Amino acid sequence: MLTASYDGGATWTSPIQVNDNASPADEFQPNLTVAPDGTVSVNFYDRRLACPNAGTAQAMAAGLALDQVNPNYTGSLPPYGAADYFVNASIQFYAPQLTPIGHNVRISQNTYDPQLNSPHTDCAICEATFIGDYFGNTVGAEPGGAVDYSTFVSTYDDGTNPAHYQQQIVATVAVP
Amino acid sequence: MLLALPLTAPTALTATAATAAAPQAGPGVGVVPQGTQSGASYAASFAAAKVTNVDATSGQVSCYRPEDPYFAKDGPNDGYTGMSPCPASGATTGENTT
Repeated sequence: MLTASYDGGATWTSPIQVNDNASPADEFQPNLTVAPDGTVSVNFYDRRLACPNAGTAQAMAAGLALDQVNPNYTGSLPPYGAADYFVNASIQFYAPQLTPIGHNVRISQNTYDPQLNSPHTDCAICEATFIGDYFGNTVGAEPGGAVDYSTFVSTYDDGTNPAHYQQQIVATVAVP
Repeated sequence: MLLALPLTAPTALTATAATAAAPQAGPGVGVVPQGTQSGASYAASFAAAKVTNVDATSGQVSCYRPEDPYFAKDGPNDGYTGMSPCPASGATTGENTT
């Protein structure tokens, strides 16, 4: 949800929903920034796209076959084709008065499995899944115009991550 | 990088996560000013918006001296994949391991 105050917090606009998926899915860990011209952007993790199906190149590169233990999931494993499981990153832009500029944009080229090599917050062998906190959003002025820079994690193997560690991805997209 | 907030920009903003159609949800849930979009449209938006991705960490080598060495391997599904020696070429991430 997104709301704004233009009077120092005395009053607030009616909340609006940022994510625009037609079917329910987890949308979480939002980050917000404001460009120098007042354009607002909110990025967030997004589970609207299903896991890749077995035998696909995406499933292979995602390391999906390695996902065989998940105490917090009741479906079959590996979770081929499962809904509300894999993670993407998304962004939504708004004019300064929170008028949306287009729809949610997918800023992760590849969907990823958050279970693989998930950091454990309690101990090295604990089971709790932890998606990295290293998720950010900022805007920089570039010669061609303002650019939004987002950082997020991914375990996808693009050819440089065969062990499927949580790597830090930087996404760039022109601010509309 | 620091960003200045112009006078025309909101002086305070908050954002929280929500699902698209949670029943009995709070104010604003389901109020999507831009309207919803299909999964296919969303999936195609990466290319349409000319987004680029750079893997910022997979090419880096990090070495450090752990306070509590842990040699077991739990990965890849269950987390930690074990300790390994720092390569002769050393770290590329700038740690001082001496």
